[in-house]
Amino acid sequence: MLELFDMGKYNFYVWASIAVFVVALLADYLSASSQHKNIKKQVKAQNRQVNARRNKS
Amino acid sequence: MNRIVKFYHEMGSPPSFYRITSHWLKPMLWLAIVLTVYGLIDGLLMAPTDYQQGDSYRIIFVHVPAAWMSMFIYGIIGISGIITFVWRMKVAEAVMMASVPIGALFTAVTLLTGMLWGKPMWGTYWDWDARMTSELILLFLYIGVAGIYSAYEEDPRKAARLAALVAIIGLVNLPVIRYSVYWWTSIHQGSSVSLMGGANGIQHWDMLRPLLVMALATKFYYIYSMLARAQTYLLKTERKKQWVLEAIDQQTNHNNPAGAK
Amino acid sequence: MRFWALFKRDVLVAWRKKSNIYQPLVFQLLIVTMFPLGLGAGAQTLAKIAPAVVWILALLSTLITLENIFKNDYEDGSLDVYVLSGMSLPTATLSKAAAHWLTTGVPVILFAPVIGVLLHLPAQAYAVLMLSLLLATPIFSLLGTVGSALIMNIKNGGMLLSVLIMPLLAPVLIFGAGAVLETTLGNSAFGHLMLLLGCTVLSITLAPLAAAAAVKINLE
Repeated sequence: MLELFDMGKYNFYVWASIAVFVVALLADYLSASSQHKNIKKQVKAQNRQVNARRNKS
Repeated sequence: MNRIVKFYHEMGSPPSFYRITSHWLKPMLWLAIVLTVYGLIDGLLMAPTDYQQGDSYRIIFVHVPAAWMSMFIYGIIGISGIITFVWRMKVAEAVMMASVPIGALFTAVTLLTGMLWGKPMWGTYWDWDARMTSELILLFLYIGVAGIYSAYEEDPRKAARLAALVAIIGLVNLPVIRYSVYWWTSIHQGSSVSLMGGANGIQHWDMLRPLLVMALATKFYYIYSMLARAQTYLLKTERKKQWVLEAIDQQTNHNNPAGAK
Repeated sequence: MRFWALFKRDVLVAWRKKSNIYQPLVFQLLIVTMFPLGLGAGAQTLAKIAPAVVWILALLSTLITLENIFKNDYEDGSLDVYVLSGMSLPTATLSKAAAHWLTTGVPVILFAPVIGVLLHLPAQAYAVLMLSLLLATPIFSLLGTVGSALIMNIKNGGMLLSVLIMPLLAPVLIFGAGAVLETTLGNSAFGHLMLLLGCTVLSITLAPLAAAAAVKINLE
């Protein structure tokens, strides 16, 4: 099984490339989804303010 | 036919764009993950070793899909830039600006994996060959679009229109740049071993399949990332509008039917 | 004609403030001094890199002047006046580019042989050097109006301007410096110069439109 993972003298180059690819996409996923969540949270907070104002008046 | 026209008009308005694409995010992300895992296992562990390049050719399974995406996404940016510029369509603006980070990222990944492939093949991390050079210039184009937008960020509509203009100028210039760079290398260099020389050798279905799977995976991931960012963009720029409040309220109620919070 | 009125005004403004004209030349002299000092090498190494260095210096020294093409007009409101007076924007930007070329491009062309001598550029290359710069400096000015129009109400937009127009200038550099290099190697530079001419024609037709669009968005 393990010899499947062995790229001989190219080990470093192949696995570093895969790592670059995976890490880059992971970073993109994290930034995209956290921005998405943040903005939703902000809008919700804004909603609560609006509702509170409405209930008062 | 009517259905298609209706769909087109719906996608043009931010509220229905938001509503429709909300259902797409998760499926796209899962498709991307499953295909990436399958493609990487198939490409790295199952596909036969190349008789010329040995195992180093396996970098192709991340390098080439990333390179395809870097150009494909710039095309999308150019097209949505034209729509933004001519019709001032809000959704096109969102799609354009949402595509920039992921496109730039794919370009950077292409460059880095290209360098890692170049070292065993050319004996150097960087060679000024035509593909690498034009990819680097493509990265500058992405940085330009992102830079002009962030410089005008307080006024998003103006920022988007100027970014669209920059994207269109880049799109017009891309053929000139590519032609000149290819012409330049053809004169000044002896032919260096092309990284894609391996790709010409890829006729084996067992090598081609993971490549195509990875290409699909990156497409789906792009759709996910672009839609998530486009939604963020729309929520951010339209937050004062009624539909944003309603859309978020609806989602909250949908998630907790009890209505708590 | 409006075109000439605006052109004359811009040239006069530049002429009155002479630093606009000699700044790029001083910049070139400063940088060209650094090459022999840094390389620590004899005439042969210099002559080898001379075609590229002369060209890159011409390009860079123009680049530092581009930022202000529209800035002053935007800030003192005269840009609004052109628009309100019904002048067509592409014409106005073309006139701006022409004035910039006369006050920056022409001095750079005339100064290039001096830089060439300092770098031991082989004698047969001077004609082609001047010719290639004659074709290329209008492109610098035209693309400069585009970049300058894009960044005119940003503070310190110089870096952004370089990022925006560097990709557009890459083909120009390839053809222009290539022409000089081919000549020093004893080859014909005809092909390079024709391609450069193509770039010039392309930017004369397209750049005013792009610059006008950028001005319009910025004034909205």
